[in-house]
Amino acid sequence: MPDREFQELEHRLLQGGIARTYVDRTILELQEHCADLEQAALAAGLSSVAARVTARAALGNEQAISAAILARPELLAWNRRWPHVAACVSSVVFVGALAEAPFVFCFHRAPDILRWSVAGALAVVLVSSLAAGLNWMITLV
Amino acid sequence: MAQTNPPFMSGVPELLVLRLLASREMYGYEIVKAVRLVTGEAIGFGEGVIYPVLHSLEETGALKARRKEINGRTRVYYSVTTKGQRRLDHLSGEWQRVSTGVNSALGKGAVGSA
Repeated sequence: MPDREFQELEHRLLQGGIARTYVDRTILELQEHCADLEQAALAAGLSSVAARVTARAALGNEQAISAAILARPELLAWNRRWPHVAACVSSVVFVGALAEAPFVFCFHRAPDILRWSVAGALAVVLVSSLAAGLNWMITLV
Repeated sequence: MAQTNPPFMSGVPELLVLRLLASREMYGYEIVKAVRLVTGEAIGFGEGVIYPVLHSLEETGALKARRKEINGRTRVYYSVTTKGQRRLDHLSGEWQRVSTGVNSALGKGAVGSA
């Protein structure tokens, strides 16, 4: 099976909801298996082209392999196996993230917030001082 | 009440894989070769479909897998767990029961046609 077919198989399995772990392992094992078949064919005296064709034929086509994998629900990713649980978990995570967002934002903007807070405080002190001074002067007059 | 026998229809690959791996750990290509050898090439299949069987057995805890680097190649070796051994015993028993039933039916058929 050529690499393009492995990519198609990988894409098809991921689209079908198969867990990433099993997709990666399947691709790795199929590649190794194909290499073993090619080596065996070469050892049997076939040309490299014939060995490759023989190996691909023995491995089976992409449709058959993907159908065999997709027919096994136990290989699905957990969010495909328990969609209601996944929906609940994702909602909780979303709400949690929403509540955390201001803190995370503040954490990342801490120097700016500090600078503006100091500037604001100084402005308040300055304006208050001016107002107090003016008030004092008016009182004296 | 008659027992149902779903493993008869769907458990043959699992039975063969568990039986072969019960003797020693193997990787996919080795397993396929062993299946061909022990069945006298009576069972034909695209070799790539062995992997969903192995992964499914691993997911259910019947097999465990470990990676080994050998001469720059990555091999994933599978071996039977205690749970897998119990499943093998169960499937073997089911197979024996069904096989006995089928043989009995074939024997009666031969008698009937004689």
